[in-house]
Amino acid sequence: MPPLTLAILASLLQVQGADATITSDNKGVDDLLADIRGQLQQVDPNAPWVTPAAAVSNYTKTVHGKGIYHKGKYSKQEGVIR
Amino acid sequence: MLPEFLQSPNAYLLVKVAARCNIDCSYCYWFRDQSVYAKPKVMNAAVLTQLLKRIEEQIIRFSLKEFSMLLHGGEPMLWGIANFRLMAEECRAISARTGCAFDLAMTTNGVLIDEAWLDCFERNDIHVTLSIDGPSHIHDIHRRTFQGGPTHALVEEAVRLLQKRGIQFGVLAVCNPAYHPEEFVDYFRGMAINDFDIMYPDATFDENPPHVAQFYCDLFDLWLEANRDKRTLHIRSIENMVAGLLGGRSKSEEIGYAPQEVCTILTDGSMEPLDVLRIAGDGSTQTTFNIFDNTLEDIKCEPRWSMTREASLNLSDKCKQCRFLEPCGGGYLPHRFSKHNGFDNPSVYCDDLYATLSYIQSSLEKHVYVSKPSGDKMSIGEAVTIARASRSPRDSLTAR
Repeated sequence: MPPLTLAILASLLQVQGADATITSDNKGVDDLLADIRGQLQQVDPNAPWVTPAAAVSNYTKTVHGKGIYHKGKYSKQEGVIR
Repeated sequence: MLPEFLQSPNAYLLVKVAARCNIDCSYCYWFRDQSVYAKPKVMNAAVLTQLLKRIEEQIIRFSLKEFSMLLHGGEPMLWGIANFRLMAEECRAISARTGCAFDLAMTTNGVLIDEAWLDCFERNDIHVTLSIDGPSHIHDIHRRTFQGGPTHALVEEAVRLLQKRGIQFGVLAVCNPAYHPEEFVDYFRGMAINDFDIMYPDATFDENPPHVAQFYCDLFDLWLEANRDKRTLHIRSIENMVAGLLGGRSKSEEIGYAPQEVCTILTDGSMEPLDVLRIAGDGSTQTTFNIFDNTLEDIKCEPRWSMTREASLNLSDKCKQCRFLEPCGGGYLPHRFSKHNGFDNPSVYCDDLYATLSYIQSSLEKHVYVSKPSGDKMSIGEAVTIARASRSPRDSLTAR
């Protein structure tokens, strides 16, 4: 299996049907999946599964570092270290 | 049209309020660049006033609703309690004028924490992160006083004071692969610390640090077991690797493909890129920009900062071919530096990162499913195979 991307997850859910969800039998993993499940609604399931190089090229052009935290800033709101 | 990042406001600063430290950790990246000794020991009133002026300009210009600062050192508490109070008061005044909320945080070795400091943290809503390398026999190997004495008991006392007052805090440790991660995890959990990170030791590509893959694979297993039925343990680096492998994004600069855009403000008001790049040697982060002559936005035009950002995104050929490109992102940028190639290297921990991500990936395949309300479930690997077969060859040309 390749490392997953939102495009891969969206397309496999399309194949499996509208009532399918990505879950885990481990609560820690499932908690992390919850965040990803929320993002999936905004992803086109027909988007190509691009190569890493193509994904990176696109990312370089569009994304900035907002939300990336430096060396462990404790977040009271989230109750975790980020 | 300008690239998006040039139009985006800088709403986060790493502020070095003290350039010296009160303990002498053997692995510290900060003092590997001797030029820090040329900086003022602590930030003075004129620099603080100018910094706050620049921040307010930035908030007004971009109508920011939140601005974050991580107060750092050296040891930031050497700046003194009065300066912390003053900064917090001034930030509240800016909030009142602009409507922008401030998020103030500090990373400290903790040895100066007492009741008066706790009052300061509480009254000024300053978030605290402590550096503790697990139990004393591991912590005191590297984290010692200038006289060579241990510091663990002092930090443990800080933990007790924070907990007695009910102040939540984060904990950062540095990995020591000579010990099993269970020693770290058991120690922290025994102290009722369930949210922490264990970071890779800083090293450039020119160095030969010990392998850490087994440590992080074992740490992942401990995280997985602790969270089997209920979420009871947060380990940032592990969770960022898991999130990256599941299609999410790392929220830390240390792993995951993302631009490095930290702006560091030094005690004299100098503006520099990421502080940890000092492990590349003397003057390696030096710029001619400072908050007296430049706005905070100007850093994006500073050559060394721009080079740092580009280096974080332009990975080595080995990384570009790697199936873990996105969840790994070449690891932590400073770990890619070599005197010969600059940043055009994989991480000095490349083999460890690859082995750890492979191990976590294989475990996730056993724990992640596509589920239906009927209770039917299919392994994620099988679901990916079916989805791939349903797509045209052009659309499924992923090499991963």
